[in-house]
Amino acid sequence: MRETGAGHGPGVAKRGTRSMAKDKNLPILIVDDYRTMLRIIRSLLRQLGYTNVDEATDGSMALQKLKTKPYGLIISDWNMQPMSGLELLKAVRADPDLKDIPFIMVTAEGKRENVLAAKEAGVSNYIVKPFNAETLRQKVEAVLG
Amino acid sequence: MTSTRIEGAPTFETVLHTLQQLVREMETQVHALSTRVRNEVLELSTIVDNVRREIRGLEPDDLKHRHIRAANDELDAVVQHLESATHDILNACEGLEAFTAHLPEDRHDDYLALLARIYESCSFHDLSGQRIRKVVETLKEIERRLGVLLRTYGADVAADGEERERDPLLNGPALPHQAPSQEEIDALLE
Repeated sequence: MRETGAGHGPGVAKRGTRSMAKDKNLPILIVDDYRTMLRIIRSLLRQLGYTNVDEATDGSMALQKLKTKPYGLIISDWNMQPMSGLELLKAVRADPDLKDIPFIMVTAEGKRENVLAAKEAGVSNYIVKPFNAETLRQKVEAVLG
Repeated sequence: MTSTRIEGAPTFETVLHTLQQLVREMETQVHALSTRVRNEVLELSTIVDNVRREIRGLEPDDLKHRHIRAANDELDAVVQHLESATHDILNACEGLEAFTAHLPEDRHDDYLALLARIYESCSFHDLSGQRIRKVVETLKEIERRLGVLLRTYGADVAADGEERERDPLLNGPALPHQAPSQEEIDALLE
């Protein structure tokens, strides 16, 4: 699993001495082309205490948002058009201002090749749909420390 | 000039007679073979004509513009209906969350856990939508291949365009008995 270091530039929320998981105001970007899934993830994050959540419906919209505000976490689907979650991940990791943002893939794509491709691209964690609230909590806390 | 005849060798007349017999035999064989080939070709031609007739009987335009289109429309309607129902459920859940403050504090966690279960279950819309998308893609592929088959046999069907190259990493949700567990996924990330 990719280790995320301290961020540089405007792309990553400032990381202090407290674990980011305890910062409930951490800006989180969720990306999915199904609006119902965006609502579900937003609701589950709200129950975990994270309320500073923005949404995008595909990778290219997400990239635009990432350049306008420092996010502390990206939670993204894979299968989206015109830009997929994997393409978004690669773009994030290739951008010096964004490369250290923790990135969780939440997707129905569960084949071994998919997980390995995401790992190769630098994913922080990987959740396969359908998932439950406890899994989301564990994976979010695992990447935020 | 005197010719020297080798003792025991056949005469010219014998050789000529043998050659003539051979030629007659070959003519008979070639004739039989060409008759067989002609008959096979005629049979094949009959089969092709029958297939062509059957394919025309499929009423390609009707298949393409009515049945497959209707199937796609129905599937679109299913996805829209599922989305609408899911939003209604989520609206209700968010309304119920507001009641948490009115509950005794020791009941909050249980209450929110129940709501979380409903949120989790609402992912049915996403997964159903992805499965339906796969069905639609399959229908489109059937439509395309049907078009190729029909044009091959002379049916007047417009081309559907080239087969799109499929991204091997985009497969959508696996069938339940093939779906990996979260533990299997976690193991791959180690």
